[in-house]
Amino acid sequence: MIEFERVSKAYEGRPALVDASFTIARGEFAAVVGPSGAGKSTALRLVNRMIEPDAGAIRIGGEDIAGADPVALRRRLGYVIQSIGLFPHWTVARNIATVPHLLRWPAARIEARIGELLDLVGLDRAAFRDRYPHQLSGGEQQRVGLARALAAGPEILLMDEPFGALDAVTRDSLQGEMVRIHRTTGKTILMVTHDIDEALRLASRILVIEDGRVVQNAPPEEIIDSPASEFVRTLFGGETAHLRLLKVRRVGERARPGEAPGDPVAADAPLETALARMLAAGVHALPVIDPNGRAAGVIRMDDLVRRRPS
Amino acid sequence: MGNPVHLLLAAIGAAAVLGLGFVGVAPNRILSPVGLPLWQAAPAAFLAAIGIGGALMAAAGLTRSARPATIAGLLGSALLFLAAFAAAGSAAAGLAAGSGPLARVSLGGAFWLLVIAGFLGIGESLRRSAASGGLRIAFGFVVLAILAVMAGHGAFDRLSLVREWAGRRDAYSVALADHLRLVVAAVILATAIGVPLGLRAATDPRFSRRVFAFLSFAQTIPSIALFGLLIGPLTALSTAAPFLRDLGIRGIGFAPALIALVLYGLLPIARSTETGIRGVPAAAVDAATGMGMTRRQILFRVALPLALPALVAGMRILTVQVIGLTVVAALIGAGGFGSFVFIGLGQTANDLVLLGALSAILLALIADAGLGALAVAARRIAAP
Repeated sequence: MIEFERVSKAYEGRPALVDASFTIARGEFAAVVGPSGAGKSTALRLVNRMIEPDAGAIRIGGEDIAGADPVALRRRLGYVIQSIGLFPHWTVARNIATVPHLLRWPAARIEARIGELLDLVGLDRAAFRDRYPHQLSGGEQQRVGLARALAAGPEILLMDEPFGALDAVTRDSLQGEMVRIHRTTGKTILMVTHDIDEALRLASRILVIEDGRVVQNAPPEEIIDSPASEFVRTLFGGETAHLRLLKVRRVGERARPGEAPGDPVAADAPLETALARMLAAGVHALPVIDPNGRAAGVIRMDDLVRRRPS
Repeated sequence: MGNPVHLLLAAIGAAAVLGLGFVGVAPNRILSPVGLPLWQAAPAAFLAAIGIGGALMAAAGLTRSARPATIAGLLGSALLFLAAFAAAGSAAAGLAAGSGPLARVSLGGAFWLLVIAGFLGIGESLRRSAASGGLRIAFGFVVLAILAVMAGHGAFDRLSLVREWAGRRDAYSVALADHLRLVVAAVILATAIGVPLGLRAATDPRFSRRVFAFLSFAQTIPSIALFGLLIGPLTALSTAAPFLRDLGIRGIGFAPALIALVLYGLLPIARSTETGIRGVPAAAVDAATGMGMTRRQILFRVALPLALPALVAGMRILTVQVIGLTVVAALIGAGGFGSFVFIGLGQTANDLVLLGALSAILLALIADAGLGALAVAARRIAAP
């Protein structure tokens, strides 16, 4: 869906992206990670031509974007940024309708779409539609930002550190929403983040960038198991890298059918919670319940250690 | 404690009444008037009204509870304001009846200070009160309507200021039209040129430095000098190209006045546009760009609406400044209220000077109030 072929970009002689080649398949959730100033945002902003490359080609759906009209291209791509950038003089509804308005959708279609999107990002239609951005919390603002980016049904969602400015609790809940939204919409997502846990939790593919070069491009578990370099190993936590998976993977992903006695653990809790509860209770298995409180199988110590073949 | 401002204003009013003349009487319009204190000039009823107004204001300053203080302050100020006018008109009528037909009754220092104290007191009370904008404007209109009714009944006819006006009504209408024409043309032109300059300056620091260096320099040229400086080139131009003269472009009059006024007006409007655009959140512009707005759409849908309050503030300064400077433009034959000021100065007829100056001040106050209402609307658009 997104294809970089030998793309380079330098700012006043300082390279930001060097000879980068990678492909992100349709429906994939790709996270770009790396230290500050490594060229993460550059990679993202090249896709919607907020930045033009010095060399190389970028293709979306096989079509070279160098030949596309930047304005038309951007309307096909959702764009979410850390500072959110809601328009303060417009209501939530008007903000969400930005791109549909630019595309001159009929009013009734825009109206219906606003309702759908508020539902999708978990905001009550009646309570939020006519509010102004300054009346929202940071987390609510970013939910609106997300709805706005998805409004015109873009093929691709570009997200530049979308949850970087939020507090830990809000970030965790929005990451949960993001997993759900990716599952329900099947969008191709390219997200820049400096939060390794966030990348591990959300992404199906992680691109590690160091000094403008893509040093590894692989699914999260593969990067943890076999980092391409000492830099990547350190970035993902060195010796304790595997503990991070306990933090970002959910109980529901590893639970199996069965029953166990004891205090149940929630399916959407991280694995480390299950481990901590087993340690506390001195047991090797715990019952699992889904968000509605119904029994959802069992999780055993083995399941934390061994990954089920998926 | 109530509102100390009212106490101070009442004290100023009392000191003015005790220390300064309320009206001045002169045998004719050229000679200097002799001041008469309030209690000698005006009938006792008006003296009492002014006294009650002042006492209410003082009480407003001393009382402890807020709501009675506001009401007493408002009523006292309005009473003081209106009674001062009525007393002056009545004093003029009484004094003129006892003197010859050439005698003039002009307004003295005590009158002006009482009017100013009343005016400020009304403004202060309205600001302190919880009254809505509409109610405040309505109160202002009621006070003005009472003044208008008094004027309609000839209450001020014997005041020298009114007699100066009555003697040249036609000239006054022409001056008003000339003044307005210059102001409107200058404000439109300065806005049309200044806003684009400010937009460019907001994104281009080098351009910003240059254009504001030039505009600040222009601002330091005394207006009389600038009006004079433009006579030469424009005369030469209109001599070289006679068709320009047919368009009304000559060395003196409307054209050089307009050029100078626009030159002065560019600084406030361009600077406030730049400030307004710089204040637009960078994130909003980044998001707008990333979502596929064109530059024009970003400007008209995002940047300008958010910069609107600053822009209107700039237009307010621009308009008031142009109204004042247009007075000076009368020197190069552009007409307007300034012509009364300069004729009056030439004849040492102070009341004629006052007629021109007060008219310009009144125009500036009205324009400021009108644009103030526009500023409220602009803030609603930018920050609903």
